[in-house]
Amino acid sequence: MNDHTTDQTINYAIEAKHVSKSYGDLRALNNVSLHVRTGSIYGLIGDNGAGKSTFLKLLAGHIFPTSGEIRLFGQFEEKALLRCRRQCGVMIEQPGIFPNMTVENTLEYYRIQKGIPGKEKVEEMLRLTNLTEKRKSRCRKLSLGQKQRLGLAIAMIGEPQLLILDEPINGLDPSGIIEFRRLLLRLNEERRITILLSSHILTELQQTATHFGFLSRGKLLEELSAETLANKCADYLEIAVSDPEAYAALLTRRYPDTSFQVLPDRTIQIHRCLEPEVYSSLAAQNGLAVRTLTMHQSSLEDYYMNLKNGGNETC
Amino acid sequence: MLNYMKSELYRARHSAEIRGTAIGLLGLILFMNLILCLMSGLPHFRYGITSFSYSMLVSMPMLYCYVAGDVAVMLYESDKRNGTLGNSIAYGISRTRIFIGKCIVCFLTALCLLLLALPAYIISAMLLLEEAGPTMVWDMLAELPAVSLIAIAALVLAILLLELFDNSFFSILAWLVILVILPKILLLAGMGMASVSEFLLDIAMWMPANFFSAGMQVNMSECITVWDTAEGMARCLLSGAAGILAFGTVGVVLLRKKEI
Repeated sequence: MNDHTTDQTINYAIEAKHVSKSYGDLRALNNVSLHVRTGSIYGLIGDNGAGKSTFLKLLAGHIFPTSGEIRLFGQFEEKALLRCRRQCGVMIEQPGIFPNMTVENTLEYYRIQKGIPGKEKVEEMLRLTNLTEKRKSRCRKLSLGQKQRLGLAIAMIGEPQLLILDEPINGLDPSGIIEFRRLLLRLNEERRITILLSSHILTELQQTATHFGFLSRGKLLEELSAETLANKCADYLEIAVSDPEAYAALLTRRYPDTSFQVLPDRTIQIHRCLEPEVYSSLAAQNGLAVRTLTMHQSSLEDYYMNLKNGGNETC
Repeated sequence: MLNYMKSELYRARHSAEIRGTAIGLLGLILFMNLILCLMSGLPHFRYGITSFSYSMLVSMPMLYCYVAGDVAVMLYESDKRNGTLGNSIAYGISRTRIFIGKCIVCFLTALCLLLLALPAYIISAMLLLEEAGPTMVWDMLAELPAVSLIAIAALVLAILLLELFDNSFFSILAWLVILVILPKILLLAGMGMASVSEFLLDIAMWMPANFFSAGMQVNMSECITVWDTAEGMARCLLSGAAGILAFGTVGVVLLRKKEI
């Protein structure tokens, strides 16, 4: 079911192996095995309470797994994990700011903590996140979107190889979302930063992520690449004709490149299809009656809902 | 850990709360000595002397603990709520190092406040008040080594409790219970059982809240402090060292796997 293959040659920035996390009787994560390739943008999708934040907190070391193993850049021992976390930038739930300190001082605090030489790094982060004008503002006076941007600047100031962002576009206005998306794509492309981000705004993730993982009620339902998802979510056509077997033979003869399948209810599902008229004409020309012809268009949302409700792998 | 401590010191330097505490402390000291000075002109007013001013601090050594606890609260009370502790952990700084780093930074911050407040206290008293009475500058200065380890222990305990509990109010309450209320309960229980066994009373008398209140006479006619004698000074130092060791060990053990 999963797109991921256990290939020793693939470099993973994050690997979770059979990770579970319980709070008393509540199982927040249940046997989750997840893989984030180095250099990818991984979208973690799930409803509220699906376990997204719990998983990200495990990665950040805020909480500990009840069972299973977390690997960062292939390392899993406690001390090695601490070292690996120095290559991570994290923003989970809140940006981690001091309300009474200025934006500039907050960034300077984290610059010192992360041992980054030179104050110009603070300037760079202010520029990168468009906060230069707000440098002297106290953090408590920032808007939600500005706080999110400051959170990203804090996560970025350590020059991380891996960014872990929990609902990063929460509170951003539409132009802020576009700006944020561009920034993430730029960081991924130019600096080869691996990004793991969670969101329940699926359309946004669809435009950013190269890989997806679907969490529901603490379980990882599936993980796949954007390419595989695109194939699975491609438009398809369903046609019901008087003689499906004859129509299938016709399809194979006339359009050998067409991918189709005859479903148990004797309708034919055609993937990567041409215009609908092509298929209705084919039936009519060969004396077959077309009972129904439906064009299906699907999105990541449809796919997720279908997956969550226990549907099959296509949309 | 050095970078973490440097960043925390930077924060302390830019903290409005610490600045407020420093200004408040200085203001309070100057206000007290000024009021004593102004009132010394009144007939039959005996308190406009340095001894009375000094005795305010000498008679209440637990004040050092309260200020140390206050500095810890000012610096770290909102670390979890603001998510700043989470950021430090996510950056791979171990909880043990964070705890030890916070204790050191808090101590240095409290020391800076002391270095600011104490000279202001002594100089303003000397300038504004008549030098007379049993309590001398020396008593105040001798108090410093006596209470220093105890104040550090109080500070370590405050940081431990702030890290341990999610609710700061509960942390402060627990701090007061451990430092003040529990010793008093033990003292009362020990006094009640003194006819049978003095064991409980002996233990209670090793607690600063008890030996500072029971073993001292500081007033307008005399100044007898715990740290006057070698035995008393040793009790102060041992009690403080034991507190640092106990609270520090408990902190390292309990916070090592503390989830946030």
